Amino acid sequence: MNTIVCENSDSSTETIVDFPSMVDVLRWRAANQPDQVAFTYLPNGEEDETHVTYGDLDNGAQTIAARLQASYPIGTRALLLYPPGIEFVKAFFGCLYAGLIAIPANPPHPSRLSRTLPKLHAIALDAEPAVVLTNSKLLASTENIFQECPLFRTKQWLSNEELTDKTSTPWRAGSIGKDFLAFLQYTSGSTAMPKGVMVTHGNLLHNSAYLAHAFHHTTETILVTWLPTFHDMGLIYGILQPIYLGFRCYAMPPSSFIQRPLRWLQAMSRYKATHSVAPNFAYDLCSRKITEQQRALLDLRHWQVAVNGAEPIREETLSRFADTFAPCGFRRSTFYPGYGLAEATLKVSGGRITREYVTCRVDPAALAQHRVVEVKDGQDDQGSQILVSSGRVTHGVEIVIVDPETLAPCTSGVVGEIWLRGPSKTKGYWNRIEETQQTFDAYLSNTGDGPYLRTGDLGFLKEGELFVTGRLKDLIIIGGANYYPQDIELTAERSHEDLRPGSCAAFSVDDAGAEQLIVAIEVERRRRDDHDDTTPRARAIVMAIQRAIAEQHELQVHQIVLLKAGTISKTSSGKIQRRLCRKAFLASSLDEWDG
Amino acid sequence: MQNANDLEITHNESVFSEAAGASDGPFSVEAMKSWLISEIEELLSVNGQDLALDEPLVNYGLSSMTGMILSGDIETWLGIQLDPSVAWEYPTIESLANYLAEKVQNQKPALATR
Repeated sequence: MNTIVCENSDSSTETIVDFPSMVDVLRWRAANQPDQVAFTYLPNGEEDETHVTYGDLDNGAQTIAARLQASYPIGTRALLLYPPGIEFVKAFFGCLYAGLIAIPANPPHPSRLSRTLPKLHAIALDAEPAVVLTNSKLLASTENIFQECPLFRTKQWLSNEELTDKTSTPWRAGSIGKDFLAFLQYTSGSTAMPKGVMVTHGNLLHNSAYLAHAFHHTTETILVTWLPTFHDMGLIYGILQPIYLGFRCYAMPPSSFIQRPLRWLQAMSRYKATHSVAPNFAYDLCSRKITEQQRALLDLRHWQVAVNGAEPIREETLSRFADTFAPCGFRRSTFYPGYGLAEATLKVSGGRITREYVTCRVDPAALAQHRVVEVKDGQDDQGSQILVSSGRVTHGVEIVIVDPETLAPCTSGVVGEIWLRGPSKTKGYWNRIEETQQTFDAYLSNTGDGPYLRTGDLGFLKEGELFVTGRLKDLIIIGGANYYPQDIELTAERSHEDLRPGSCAAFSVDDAGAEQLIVAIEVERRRRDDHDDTTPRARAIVMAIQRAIAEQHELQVHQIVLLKAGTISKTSSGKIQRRLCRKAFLASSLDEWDG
Repeated sequence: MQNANDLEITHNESVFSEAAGASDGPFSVEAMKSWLISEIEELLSVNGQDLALDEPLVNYGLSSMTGMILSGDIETWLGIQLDPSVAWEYPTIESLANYLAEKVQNQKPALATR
């Protein structure tokens, strides 16, 4: 499974190599193709390209690893705080070469420390890294970080400049096997309880082989990516896959794309790129922001695979993008909807190359009851909902749709939780035995078959195609980022003195094809001596909630509903029933506060 | 993509020839403010009348993503280069409008010599 076909530098012969770890993959590239450019970075998304070869990457990783080996034993955690770029790639491989467990994370923004630090602090508490690796710019501004968060003062901070100090003894290659942890991926869990997915070299090699096979990558592939590199998709697809197969990758920071979506497609056009990957919202942003005049200069004929993953996939997004960019040579069959999650390394399922994505038209009322009732073409399709298939599983990955209550497989036509197993299933959550057992060690109640990974996602299978329909848990996904409702609820409750603790529900609804955040919250009964007008008071409360959520989570609340005290749906044990609140919101039957 | 860059430069020139010599014209601080208000109305689905010029935009729900989109929209409008995090460096409509007006003023001579 982990063998790959490597084209030798003279292109005449091919070698089949079985790599024991990702370290060996880069070592092989450096030994066989030292002068080949691996990555080209476009720091502002346009000009000013910088190139790095496999030889450069290997040299950089070796010198960093030598320095790390001198101070830290194998298995030490290292927090990596880098903006996207070559420095990050070198530091990441430096950790792997030294046998350190890398923890890529979003670097704190100097002018937004109050928002970016709590999550980082929680990760540092959970993973207990001994060292923080970063660039010299961030290293120069650590004093502010230490003031906000003294824990970080206890860590050793090193920039690449210090790490590449050549005075240390040379790097010693260790024996790193498939079961060895490569990195921790902190995309799961709330701020209060972050969960670091333990990804091994074996997981990475398997998922890399899976991606290579499924996306039809070759040494001729040209990839353009703007995805953040501290997330699984940007790291495993955007950095590891090009190295794994030895194809060319052009990368730009996420901010360059968000600021001007044209830059992504300009790069696709300029470099005759064959592959790219983005969450659903990015395709919408392109359709919305790129003008006809700009489209006239784009050539997207070389684009073979446009992966859509990491957030719910919408048919209207795909159709609109395909129609908008058809004049540029974009083909609808280029779309490749996929499904994956960090707990399964990255990819779980995906479409088929050169075929158009598969859709299924269903009755939304039945779907809400977890039943799949197809609406045939020609039938009354006014109120029907089009679902996009996330494709099929191959390459040794196995999925089962399971009733989350009985833990028995669902019958066909019924929505259940997606369970999976295979070599890409990761080792569990760092330092969390109970949560690991709940999520990674699930057994079917009827046959005792297992252990499976419980994805927490809901879906169904139809003729081998996986349709993902929602979340079992109340995770909110907006703009490709995951938000935990309990984090948002806590922020809302604390934002104004008239709000009641433990009486708030945060959930998302679909509004004109985009997920929007709704907050329903109880207001304290009016005090007797309070003669304020209701309207200004309501307005002040709403403003306070909006402001707090914007400050803490950088999220915009689409609608805030103030509720009468004691009316929010709770379980007998006092837990908020977000789904019932959402249903009542959609039916306009929430008990609104009127002062 | 030589052509696309040409297109942007053409856009720049047209903007700046309009603005040339007009300190109270379409690129004055006041004009920046009213453009920003209508842009933010649309971007954050808020009512322009509710926007206070000295209130940080994050308090109206500006996220890291919408902040970057705002910077890009300003770039397109004015034909200038901005840092994606400009809305955090200049967090209110007031401060952002002042910064932009000054930036446009400073870039005019450079563009005139093209």
